[in-house]
Amino acid sequence: MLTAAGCFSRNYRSIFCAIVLIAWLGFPEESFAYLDPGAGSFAFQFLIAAGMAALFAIKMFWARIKAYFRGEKDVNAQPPSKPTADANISVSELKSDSPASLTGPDKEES
Amino acid sequence: MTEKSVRGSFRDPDGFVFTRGGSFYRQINRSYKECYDRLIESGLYKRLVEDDLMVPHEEADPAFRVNESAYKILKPETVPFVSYPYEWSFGQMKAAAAVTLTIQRRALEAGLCLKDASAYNIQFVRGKPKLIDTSSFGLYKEGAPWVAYGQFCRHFLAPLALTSYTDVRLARLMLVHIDGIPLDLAEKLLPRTTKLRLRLLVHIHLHARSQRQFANGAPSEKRASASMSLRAMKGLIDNLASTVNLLVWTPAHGAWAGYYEDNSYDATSLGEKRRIVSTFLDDVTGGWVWDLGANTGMFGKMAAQKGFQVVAWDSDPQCVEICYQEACRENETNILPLILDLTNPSPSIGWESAERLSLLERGPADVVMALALIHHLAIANNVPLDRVAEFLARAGRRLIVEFVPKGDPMVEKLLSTREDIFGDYRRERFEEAFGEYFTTDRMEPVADSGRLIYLMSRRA
Repeated sequence: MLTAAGCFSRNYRSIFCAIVLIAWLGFPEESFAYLDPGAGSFAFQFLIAAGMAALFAIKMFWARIKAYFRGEKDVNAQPPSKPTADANISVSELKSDSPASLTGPDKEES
Repeated sequence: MTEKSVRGSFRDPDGFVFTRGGSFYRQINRSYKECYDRLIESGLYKRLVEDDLMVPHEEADPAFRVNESAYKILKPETVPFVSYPYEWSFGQMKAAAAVTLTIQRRALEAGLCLKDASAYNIQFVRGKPKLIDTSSFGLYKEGAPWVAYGQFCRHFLAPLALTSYTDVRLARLMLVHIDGIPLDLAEKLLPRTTKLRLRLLVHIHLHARSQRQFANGAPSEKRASASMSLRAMKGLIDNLASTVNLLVWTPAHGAWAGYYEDNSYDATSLGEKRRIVSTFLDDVTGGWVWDLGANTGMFGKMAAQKGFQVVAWDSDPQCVEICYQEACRENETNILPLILDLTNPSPSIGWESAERLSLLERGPADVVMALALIHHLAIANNVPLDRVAEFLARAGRRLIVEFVPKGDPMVEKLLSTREDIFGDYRRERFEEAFGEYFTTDRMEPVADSGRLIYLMSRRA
């Protein structure tokens, strides 16, 4: 169940993560890459996972509030718009369809 | 009937593409059985095809298999013309990125996940970017990160961000780096101010830093046992989509983008030129037109409206972007605008120089249009006329070519800053050089301009 309090506590956590990450940014360091850069991409996603989940939860929560005041009973009932070659339309479809995840099988971040 | 492997299709252990009797087929290996079955049975494949996000296929005769590893043999819809990300304009790259993310999001809902986010897996089919690689899906395991995240950032985000914040010419780095622009290089080339943009800070700068951090060693046990929830995964995809969506690049009124408005054409000459080209196009048959030096696609669109499939090539990314945006707005699906520097055309690249095809390997076209082009090659780039003719004969079977003589304001402009060492650049020599490779079917002068337009056929 998604609650506003849950969202905001996650928000603080994401801000904290962001500060740690910015501090970590520092100066570039040279290294001899033996492993494929995928190893760093893998580990990096664990680092940003909490922040991404929190931002997404806030966004979905906000989408529900807006939908409520617009008088839309169930945002999930909207048929997905047909994507076209236009990037913006495809991305907006991605966003508009996203609230479905709130009722989906995904779990709260532990 | 013999099968022939496609040289660029060898990396994926789950399948590969081959040709048989001139048609393309894809062998799906048994190792991919579970993913393929879920792709079909979950309805994901059907939905992606219905929404023009993926090329459709038919299951072909299993006897067509190349080896015993085969689970299915698919006959995908043919991609009419294969283009590469280093030939795409900003808008095309952005549309391809958005489609990749949309497919990833939908795949998650079906318990699948894109295991590749390669820009080469997207092709433009009748104006729409579509996934062509049926074996790009893997089973989604809750807790696992997106295996293709790094590739998505290298193939899509880096060129888009570099175009948006640094210089459009840097997107050509995709030609040098076949697996996408390394993020540490993108980080160095992006202005420092992009570190103040949270999304770029995360997906490029911090991401590059992380790659450096782990370049010499695997993640620690603690990190290796970490997990990423489905919500975090959806959040990541949503965040990448916003990042892509917020990147903008507006073509300025550059050197070429205002060519037809600014140059010496008056309305009568331009109208006359349009009439002649239209008449010549009515005289030719066949499906493919390559409009070389297409500018913003004025003549390419004319061919597209007549039912030809057109590739409108130009070296100016601004012209190509304008052409693409106009084609999207006008729902003109017969034209594919692409970036190409004719003096240094797309080479064959990749493993054994055979993964991605050169320009000429993707031809010949049925008709090549070279309008207001020859003087740029012959005078601005010192290419002898017979070499120009030889190249055009390799590029297409029929040719609509314009000769712009000395004395024309545009040629005089080219000569104004250089010594005129182009004694051969005259009509008689042009006709002699092209006569070696072509026969002239028709020729018409463009009223009062001194310019001549020829319709030619390649000699047998």
